[in-house]
Amino acid sequence: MNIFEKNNVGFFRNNPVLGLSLGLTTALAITTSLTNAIGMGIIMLLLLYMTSILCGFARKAVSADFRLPVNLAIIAFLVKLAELLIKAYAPKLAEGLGTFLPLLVASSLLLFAAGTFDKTEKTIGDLLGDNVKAGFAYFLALVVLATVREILGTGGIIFHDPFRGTQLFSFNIIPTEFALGLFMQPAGALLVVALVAALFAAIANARAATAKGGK
Amino acid sequence: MAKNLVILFVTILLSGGMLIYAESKLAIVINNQGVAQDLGTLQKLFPETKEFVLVEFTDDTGLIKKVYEAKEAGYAYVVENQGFKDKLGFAVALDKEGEIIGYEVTSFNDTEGYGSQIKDEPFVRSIVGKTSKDTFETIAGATISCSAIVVGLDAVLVNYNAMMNVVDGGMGTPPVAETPTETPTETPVEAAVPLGSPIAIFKEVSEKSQATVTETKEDGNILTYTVSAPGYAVLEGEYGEPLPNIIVVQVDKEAKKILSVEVTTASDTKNLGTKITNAAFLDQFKDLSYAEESVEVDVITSATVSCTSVVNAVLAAIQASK
Repeated sequence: MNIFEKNNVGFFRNNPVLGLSLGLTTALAITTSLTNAIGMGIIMLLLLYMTSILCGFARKAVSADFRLPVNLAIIAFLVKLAELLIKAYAPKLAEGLGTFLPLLVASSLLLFAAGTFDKTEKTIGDLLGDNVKAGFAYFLALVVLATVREILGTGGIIFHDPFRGTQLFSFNIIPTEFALGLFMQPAGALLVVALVAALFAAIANARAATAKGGK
Repeated sequence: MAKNLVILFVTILLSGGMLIYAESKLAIVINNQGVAQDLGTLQKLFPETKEFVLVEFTDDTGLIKKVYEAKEAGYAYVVENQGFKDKLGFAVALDKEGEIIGYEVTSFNDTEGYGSQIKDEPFVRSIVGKTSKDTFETIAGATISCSAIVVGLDAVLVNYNAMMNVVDGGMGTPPVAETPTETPTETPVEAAVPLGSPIAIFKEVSEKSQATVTETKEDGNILTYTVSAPGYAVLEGEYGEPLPNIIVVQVDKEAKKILSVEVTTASDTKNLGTKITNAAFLDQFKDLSYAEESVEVDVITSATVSCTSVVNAVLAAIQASK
């Protein structure tokens, strides 16, 4: 039994990004703005959903030894298709995500979604349920990280329409002269990840304690 | 085993096939999206034109981001260069005859009042109306922002001239099938370069910019030094193995006079830093007395770092002669 089977993915306990460090590189790179984070969160959610379905079918047809190459081919296809569609219909988002969009092909979260790491035979329904939850948990983590980083790094939030690139809304909380550029850089991203992961763990523990006390 | 291999093969084949189909269908949409991003600027540059097509191009400087062909009207270049605080973006339009017919600043974050002069009428007037063979000047007080634009414009003109086969002395015609004919040998006419701000020969030189004398020849009072001077390529760490500029300086140590300066190897950016070989710049050193330490020469606009390397080489030669 491996780590992914033992730990059920959740929003606060075992969050894919903050608890299991799945897809962490992308999360660190693109959470400089809330627009990019929401865009990437939705893309990942859809990719996880599609990966579950296609890899679920594939696992019924191929033996465990051949699962990895087949899953990789499916993931590569889905990511490339997503890249083309985003470049065509949401160019501003494609620009913001840059190279991290095609790099999703090497995302450990997608391999996890494909069930590559599982030893047990899960059904398509099991995979779908796990992965939709993982997708929403990933989305939540990205949104929280990006919100904290953008506010600390720039003083506020500027949200753009990912399709047209026009500014939808913006607000400022911290005066610009007090914004810390460090949080827009990789080192600042790691600090925020550590802080938010600690916060999520604290929430998970508090909820577990409440549940235990209630019994 | 065989069944698994067949499934893998079919998966790869199907995925590849579908991606090729999707790419062929979406390529047009992606191209149109690219145009849509710059459409506002393109329509300002070419108000009469409705159709713009992205053109493939090569640019050694990396400053040109996109090139559009405005059907029947000319070409538009989208350029980005580092300004004083941030990246400066601008677009410039040239018609088919090589005349600059439009210039628009697309992104600006430098100092208002100083750097913002690149958006003002006098600077725009100094660009629009010029041809692809002309040169540009900077504005005092906005040197860094203006230089960023001028360097970008130089890159555009180099690209445009190469694309349209514009040669020194006028517009060229596209190369046709060569027939062995005798042509008189012509001495190439060197394009004039604009000389800008003066720079003192005797000045403090930072350690990394210091020139080194590599060879000395003595003939009475006449000393000939071969000097290696780090130029833009070395100081800015260009890709690969950047090389210094090699300069030969001849001085008369008795008369305290520079006799000649010759650049034997110009290693900086092609068509920008390599302007230091231009006679108009080097002739300033000819018979220049360095008895007074206030002696100055003018640097070439948009090749300041490379010109400074030549001046540093001359200083190294003078110091070696003492």
